[in-house]
Amino acid sequence: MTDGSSIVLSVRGLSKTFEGQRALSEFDLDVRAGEVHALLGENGSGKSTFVKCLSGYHQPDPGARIEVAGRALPGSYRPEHASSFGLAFVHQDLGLIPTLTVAENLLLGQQPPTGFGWRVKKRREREIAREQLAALQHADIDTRRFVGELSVAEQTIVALARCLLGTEHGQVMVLDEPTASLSHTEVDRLFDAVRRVVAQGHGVIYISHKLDEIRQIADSVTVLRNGKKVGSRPVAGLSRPELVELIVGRPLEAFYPEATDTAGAEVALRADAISGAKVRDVSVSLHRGEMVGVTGLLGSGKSELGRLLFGDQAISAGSVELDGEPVELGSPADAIRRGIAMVPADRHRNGVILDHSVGENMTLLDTRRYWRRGLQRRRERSRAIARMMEEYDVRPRRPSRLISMLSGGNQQKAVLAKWMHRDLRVLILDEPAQGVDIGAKSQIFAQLERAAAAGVAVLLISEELDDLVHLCDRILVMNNGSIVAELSGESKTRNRISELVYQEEVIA
Amino acid sequence: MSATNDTTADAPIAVAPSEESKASLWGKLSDYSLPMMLAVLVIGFSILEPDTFATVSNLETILASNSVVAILALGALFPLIVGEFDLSVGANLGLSLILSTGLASESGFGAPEAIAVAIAASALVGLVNGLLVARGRIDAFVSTLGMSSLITGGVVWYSNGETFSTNIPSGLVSLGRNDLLGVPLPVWFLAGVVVVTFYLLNTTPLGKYLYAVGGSREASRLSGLNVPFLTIFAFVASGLLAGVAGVLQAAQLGSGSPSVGPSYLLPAFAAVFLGATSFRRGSFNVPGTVTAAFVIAVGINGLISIGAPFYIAPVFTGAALLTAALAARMFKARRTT
Repeated sequence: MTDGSSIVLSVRGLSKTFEGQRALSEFDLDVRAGEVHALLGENGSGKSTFVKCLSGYHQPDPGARIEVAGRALPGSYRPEHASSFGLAFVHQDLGLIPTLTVAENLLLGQQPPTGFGWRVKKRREREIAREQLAALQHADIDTRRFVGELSVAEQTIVALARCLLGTEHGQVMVLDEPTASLSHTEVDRLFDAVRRVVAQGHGVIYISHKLDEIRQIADSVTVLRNGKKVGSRPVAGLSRPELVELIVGRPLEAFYPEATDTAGAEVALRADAISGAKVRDVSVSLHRGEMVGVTGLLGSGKSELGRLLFGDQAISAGSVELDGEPVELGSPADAIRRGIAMVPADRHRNGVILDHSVGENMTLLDTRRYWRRGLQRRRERSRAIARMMEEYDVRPRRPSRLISMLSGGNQQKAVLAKWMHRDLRVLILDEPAQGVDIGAKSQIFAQLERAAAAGVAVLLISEELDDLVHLCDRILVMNNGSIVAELSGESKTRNRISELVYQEEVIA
Repeated sequence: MSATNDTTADAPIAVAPSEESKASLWGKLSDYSLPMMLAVLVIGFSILEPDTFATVSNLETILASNSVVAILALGALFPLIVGEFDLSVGANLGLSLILSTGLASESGFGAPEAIAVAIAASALVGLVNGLLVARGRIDAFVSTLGMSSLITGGVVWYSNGETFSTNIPSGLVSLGRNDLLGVPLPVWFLAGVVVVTFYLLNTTPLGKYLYAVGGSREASRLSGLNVPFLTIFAFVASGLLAGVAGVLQAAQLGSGSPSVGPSYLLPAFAAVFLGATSFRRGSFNVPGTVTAAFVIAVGINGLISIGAPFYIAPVFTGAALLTAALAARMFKARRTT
């Protein structure tokens, strides 16, 4: 991509005010044909406001000018006009229909090829679909399969292909957190497809919290903070600490908490040769005050290890000891009674009750505590909730708001509060920073460090290697159901872990 | 380390207060839309028909005769709260009705024994429903619809298609026809059921757990709740209250017809769904359900008293159910944007 290449999207002076509050202020942006342009910023920085203005969901304040391939968006622009202006959006929810085939999904919204009697020409439909997928170098996806049977990466690629269908050069595609539920290998597949998209002369706006991915895929980056543009830079030559500093507005040193060396000799939890469905003969000991990381690819058994230790999945062989005493973990209820907590991955499905309030979510485990002599101790409960919201900085401080209205970061802080305000011995977390902005992420890590300092054994399951390296005393690498390496001290470097995660896959 | 200095980071969220206070005034009013509607209906029909509608005996009749539907609706409420539903409540009411009259009429049971067996049988049906759904992992739609058909058939078999009307013990009939302090007994029973279910669902941990399961089965399980037990409990409560409603209906009718039960299903569901539009909006709740049951009853009774044809009952019930479903849809849309 050269400097001379044409600009497919030009934004000038874009502001958006909500009831006197500026969510986005005088925003300028240029996206060139053939580039992946990353848009970064914490939750509430104005990123999603911008995307919603672009999609026609919000009306910008007067004075803004948005041009797509030289055509200005009119004031009457609405979401249903987006595709006719060459704008396409792939959200986390891909908008595919799982019970239809790949070909049917691709042609959804288009006029399907029909023959006599308005009969859909299925073969022709499949051909069109195949061509589209081939253009993204993914002709290997069978167009007759149901979308529900595909992996999430494949589904994302189908959604991409659908955006491309029937468009010419100069299209702008917005990818909003497309990799949130993808494993490393799947991310690579998706990125190949994204590169094919820009190679066709389109521009891509890429939104993600994952900085490593941005350095991998993006050509340039624009950072927003508090509704204002901090700057646009080429990605080449931009280091990770520099990126974080741009986003947060303070240096990286402050990002991870000071590690305190509190790991004592006492073993809090010991699993001896336990097996589950995928996990085989895994032995782990967690010491009081220690933070232990577990990583591996999707399907390596790392999430299952967490579920086994939380009693959420039956242990088929082996034994578990808590503080030196053998225990049976038959259900999450057993584990919780014994002081084990788990913050599960997939927050919306497993972590929170979306149609309940923040306060109800945070005190679900204490329901019995606030019910004495046949009455609810409401005042006592709401005082406790207020304290927790303060301590874990859950914003806004409105206990009765539905938790689904909070940002991902604040939801996760509420989940953390729900578990951590109890007397814990072991805290298991599965991808706690998923879909969480950088500011909240840093707060969450500080809380984990605080728990460890108080003597809780923390087991952090994650694919975010940088986080693991910075936070954990030891890192276990899992592959195909077994622990293949344990790294600590000098040996726990990002590259070494990366090597182990992938290298083993080749062997297996 | 302080990551909190950046309070403006949540700017778009800070927009909410004014929006919220505006919503809360309107919200507070619409929380009581059902009681207001009930008042409007009662006053309106009283003005229109002061001689037939607005009499103490007519209002007493509406209260007493609709206690059965209200109790049945409170039963149907439980499975709906945990995110399931029980389509067999109507048939189950019929089972209890036919057993409480039939056992006395044919097998010489006394009133207390007949009532106890009838309610126990209905609770057992609820238990089986709960086991099918929670342990057998059969969709509630299929399992309770199947159960409904099974009971309806069983009732016809037991009664031979005839109505039990002889030897009905006076102890049973008096429950439906006597007064206490000038208020018909069925109304007292309803009041009792309302108090117990309200207390159970709104103040006890059990109630909170039931609502939690309805909100997210997975998150509840991972918070250590015994989801299968809570689901089974909800179905047993549903069966038990269908049994109580059946006995009360037998007491009011003084006879047991095999064809009575299933027609109660829709009115009960309409009350629960309509009830979710008030008090605790967007979620199924006790006061809403009871008020809705009487909104529907007063609406039908009033329309008939001003000359509407008899088939107004199903039409009005159906319209109420659809309106409730639409309203629920709108609340949901407002809550998610």
